[in-house]
Amino acid sequence: MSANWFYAPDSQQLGPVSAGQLVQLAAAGTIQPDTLIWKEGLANWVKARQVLGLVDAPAEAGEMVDDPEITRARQPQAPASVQPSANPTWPGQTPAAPIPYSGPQTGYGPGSAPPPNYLVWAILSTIFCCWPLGIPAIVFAAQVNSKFQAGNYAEALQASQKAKLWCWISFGVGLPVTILIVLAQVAMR
Amino acid sequence: MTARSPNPPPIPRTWCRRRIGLLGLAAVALGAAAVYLHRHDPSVPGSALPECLLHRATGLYCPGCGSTRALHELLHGQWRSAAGHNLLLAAALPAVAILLARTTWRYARGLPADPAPSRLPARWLWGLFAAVMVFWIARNLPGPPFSSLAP
Repeated sequence: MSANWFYAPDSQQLGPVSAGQLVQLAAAGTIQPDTLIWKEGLANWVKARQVLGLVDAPAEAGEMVDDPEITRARQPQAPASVQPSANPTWPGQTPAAPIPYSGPQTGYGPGSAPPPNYLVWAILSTIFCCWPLGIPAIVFAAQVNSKFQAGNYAEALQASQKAKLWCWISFGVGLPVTILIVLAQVAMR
Repeated sequence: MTARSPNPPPIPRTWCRRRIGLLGLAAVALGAAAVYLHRHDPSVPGSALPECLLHRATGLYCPGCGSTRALHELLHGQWRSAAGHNLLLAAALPAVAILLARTTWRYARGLPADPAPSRLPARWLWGLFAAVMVFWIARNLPGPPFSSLAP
């Protein structure tokens, strides 16, 4: 299996990668249903959702791509020692663009995009939710940048998830409570 | 064999129709809120506009206190008065507007989260955190230099 797939998660062309790596990137969330992918032979870029079995999302009307490489790579992966056809490395083959892959829960590695830090939502919830719960979100946003810039992707990703959580808490608690109070004020007039 | 693939065609730019619909709804809601806020002054007693939860519960000002009044003033073009209600909001608004515009654009285009805020120097974000904390403490202190920061 050669590395002949390109993907463009960020309007920026990345790859080539093998079909196995492509499937891993889709499992890791780097490739989303609407991420554009391309391989030689396709007339144009297609959304990942148009490729049979690549992402769990309904396809849109139009061209579908049924690629045997993808289907093969989708088979449950055996342990590395008895790895069958999933992602073989042939002698003398060097992966054209090695994708650092550290587990199914991360999609990040050197050279890839940094984890989102949700800074906009942290600031907005600090200013507008009337509720100082946005401040932990700012702290975790800053941690995302610190860790990512120090080269620590796993911890940057953890901080990213915490930043997201605190933004949800801040908006999810602050807004409904505020709306309830407004409704109560209006009702009591 | 080294993978010597031909160059892919240029990446087409696409719009996500469902996301644009959601953005349209958000724009209508924001527009309605802006019209209401333009017509109603939150500092008038009996205003239906909400009071800060922290201030209601504890009497303390939070870093966001005064933001409704500040926005009301901004909608009337009164920057100075807005900064008097919430300096943090007036100072942060231009940067927030740029980041929010980028986020909206990328959402409409179906792109992943904006990587730019994560690439800002970490020092800036720690500085922002420090500024928020100093602002929070200072606006609760009594006396002339600090009381001007209160909403």
